Amino acid sequence: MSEPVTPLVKGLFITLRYLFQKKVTVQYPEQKRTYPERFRGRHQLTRHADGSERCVGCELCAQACPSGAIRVVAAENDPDHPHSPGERYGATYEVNMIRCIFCGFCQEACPTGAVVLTPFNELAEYRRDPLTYEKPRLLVPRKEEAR
Amino acid sequence: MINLTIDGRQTSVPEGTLVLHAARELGIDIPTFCHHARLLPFGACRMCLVEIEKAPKLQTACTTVVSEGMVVRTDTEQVRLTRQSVLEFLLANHPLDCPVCDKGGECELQDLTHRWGAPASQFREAKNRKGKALPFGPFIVMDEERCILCQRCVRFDQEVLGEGGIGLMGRGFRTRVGTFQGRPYDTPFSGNVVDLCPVGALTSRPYRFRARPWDLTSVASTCLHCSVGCAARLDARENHWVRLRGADDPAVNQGWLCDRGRYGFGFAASPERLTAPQLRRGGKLAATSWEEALDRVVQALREAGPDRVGIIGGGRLTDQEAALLHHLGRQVLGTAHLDRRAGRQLTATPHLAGGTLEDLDRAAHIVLIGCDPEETAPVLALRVRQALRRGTPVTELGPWQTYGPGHAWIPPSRWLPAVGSTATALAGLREELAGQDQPVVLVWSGEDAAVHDELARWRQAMPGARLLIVGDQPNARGAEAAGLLPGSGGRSTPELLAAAAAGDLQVLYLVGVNPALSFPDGALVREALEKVPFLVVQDLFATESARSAHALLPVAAWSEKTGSWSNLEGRHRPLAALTPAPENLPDDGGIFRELIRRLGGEVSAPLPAPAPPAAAAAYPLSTPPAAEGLRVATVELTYSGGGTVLHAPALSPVLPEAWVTLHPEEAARRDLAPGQVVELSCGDSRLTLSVRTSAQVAPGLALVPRRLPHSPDNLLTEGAAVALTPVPRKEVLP
Ligand code: SF4
Ligand code: SF4
Ligand code: SF4
Ligand code: SF4
Ligand code: FES
Repeated sequence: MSEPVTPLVKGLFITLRYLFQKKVTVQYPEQKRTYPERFRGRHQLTRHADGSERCVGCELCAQACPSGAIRVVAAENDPDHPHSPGERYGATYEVNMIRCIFCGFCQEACPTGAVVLTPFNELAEYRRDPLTYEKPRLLVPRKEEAR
Repeated sequence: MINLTIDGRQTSVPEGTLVLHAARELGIDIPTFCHHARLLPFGACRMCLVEIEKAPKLQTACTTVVSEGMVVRTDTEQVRLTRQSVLEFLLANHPLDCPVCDKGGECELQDLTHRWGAPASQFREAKNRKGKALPFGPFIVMDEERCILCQRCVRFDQEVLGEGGIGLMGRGFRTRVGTFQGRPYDTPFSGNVVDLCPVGALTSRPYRFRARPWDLTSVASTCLHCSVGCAARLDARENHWVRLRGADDPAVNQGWLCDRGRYGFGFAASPERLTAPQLRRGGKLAATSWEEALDRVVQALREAGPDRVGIIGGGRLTDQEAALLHHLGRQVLGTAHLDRRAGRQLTATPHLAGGTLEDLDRAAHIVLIGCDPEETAPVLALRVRQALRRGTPVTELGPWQTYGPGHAWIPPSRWLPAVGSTATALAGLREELAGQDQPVVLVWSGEDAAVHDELARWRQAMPGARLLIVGDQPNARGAEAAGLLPGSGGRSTPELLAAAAAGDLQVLYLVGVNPALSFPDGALVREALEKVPFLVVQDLFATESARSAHALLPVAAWSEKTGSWSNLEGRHRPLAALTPAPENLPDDGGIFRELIRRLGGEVSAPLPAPAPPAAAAAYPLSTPPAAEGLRVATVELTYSGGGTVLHAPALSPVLPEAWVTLHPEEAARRDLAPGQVVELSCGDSRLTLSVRTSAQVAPGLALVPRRLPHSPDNLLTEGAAVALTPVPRKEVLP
């Protein structure tokens, strides 16, 4: 009769042992973890120190993306009110977060360091549409706007 | 044949072959930049250097001609290192801004650097800075830093255009490509240098930053802007037409396009395009459903009966659609009143041996009859320019001279009785040339019945003569072949309009034509369109002729349909759909099919081939009596017309303003200076125009551009006397 009982006892013992060990889970969402800086979460479009946009609309991120999650449409800068240094900027920038596999290839491909993946990862939504992030949500606000 | 060895492989090629081509024939690839199949060998970039035995140094494969027993090596270490160094030099001052360069992804410099370049540059010095994003012409942007000085653009301008509008400026590392005296590069063929530039130095303004090559879907099609029918590649991004590039059809355009074709594509996305059928209700046009619109048209056609229906148009349809329209008119409606012509052109089908574009290259004499191909068939004109460079005599008969001074010009025409009509001049020329058994190519605008009759005499007198008629609409010839000309007892366009004006016509159906602008008798056409009880207009835009329409049927553009058409030679030109038509827009053929079905006809069986039309007959256009003093002549311009050209935003900088061109003496006699604004009055009509002068306009003529929507020339009667009164300049306050 010892045969069927032994594994049961063993299992219970393991449960008991873990009960008194330090917990690995957290009480999400009340409690949140801090992720490593290089965690690949939601995208962000960054700015140069002078506040101009880094993205030049080259579409290399869109080309590098293995899941076709990015759509970029470039446009010519108005010389009087340029968005970015140079002739060209990304007028439309969309990331489809449902498609994205957070591989980070876009960040790697970007010649200007414009698109970066941030540790932020709380992307859940009730509907699909807001999961396509457009430029206003992706672009970091200017310093004065953030304040 | 010359025998030689390339990379150990024996081959024999005709004398005069370049080493590059001999190697390519063997499938051996030699990288090149400055070489171009349609330009002369040049040897500027040194990318094609190869080893040739017994030659002390490497030789350029693109300029070296094969010789007997030659031993060429393209696969040695020395050749590889040379390619690497050439690229290193080309990149020494290159800005490497591929991410923001429109050429990135389809750049020859990028591709060859990936294949042959060094992993890193040895140059540590600061790069040479030059101009970026400089305006080069109305359609072109120049980035001097990207230029590798291959001179393809310069050579195109010299060899193909013969213009000398661009050249190398400066010396040494400051050398750059610039325009003559810094003027805008505004030749009507400017866009070709963008196709030619192997790098992103010359880029198109309308395409600027709109897509990267990997975004594009393309189709091989043809340009349907004029009757030349240049082969083209159409590119779309996300179903938006963004670019049109030349494709090399050796018999037609040899890779070149004119700027009207290349940059005129914006019309397809114009917000002014009609999107829904409209019916007139209570004096106003209002959008309706297709069901209702077609019902109304069918009802009107039924009520009118075959004899009180007229159909005008067809030169913008595909051959297949033209056949359907013919079937609809002749069989289903049973009317003989069909005419594709809506302007001055009598015929687009030659009545003597038809020529080809390649005949222009072999011609012993070219005669341009009342026709300026530079304006109406630009890419055809490139062959005329080549002929001029070869020394082929070119004789022009018409109110203005294009290729002068220094070339034969017999000024007109029926407006100058002293000189004799164009037909008389042509007869004189025939007598002069008769007996010489030489290939003469006649290029005619298809206007003037007297010329038509005179040309018939050329058939016997000069069996070698070939005729090319520049169609006034792209598929004019195909429409005529499909039988869209009045049948026996049928009314021609002038007769139809006269009948409409006299209240003798119930339904007038305009298919892709705008007679309000193109028909020479402006008063008649306006009255006819006003008076006809039911006017159906089928077009992309609400044209001038659509103002008094009772039913307006919008259609798909030519980039949205598949089929084929016939260019001015009668050559089959394919048309492929690039983008789907906007929702709810059928193509012309779809409308014809539906009308046929509703009228109880059949379209499933192959349509019977129409009998060859009796062209040019019965096209009465009134000619005014000869008058003293200044008389009106009109000229067709590349960018005139109220249709697609007007609605292509990229073309707006080159759209013609309303001008009147006088011979300098005539202007001096009237105390008029170029730029001055005058009122031109002719009968009861007045037009306000700005004066230009040119010695290439016949004295005694006031030359006015045709088909300008804001200044319609058909309010004037061609050949009638006019008076010019200066308009006082308004005081302009600073
Ligand atoms: S992280 Fe990867 S999958 Fe997501 S957008 Fe970037 S490249 Fe595409
Ligand atoms: S984010 Fe970077 S890679 Fe993507 S379009 Fe902008 S500049 Fe190019
Ligand atoms: S502009 Fe382009 S085509 Fe002209 S020389 Fe420079 S690289 Fe060559
Ligand atoms: S010549 Fe005619 S067919 Fe050729 S590109 Fe120009 S408009 Fe189009
Ligand atoms: S391709 Fe031969 S020198 Fe340029």
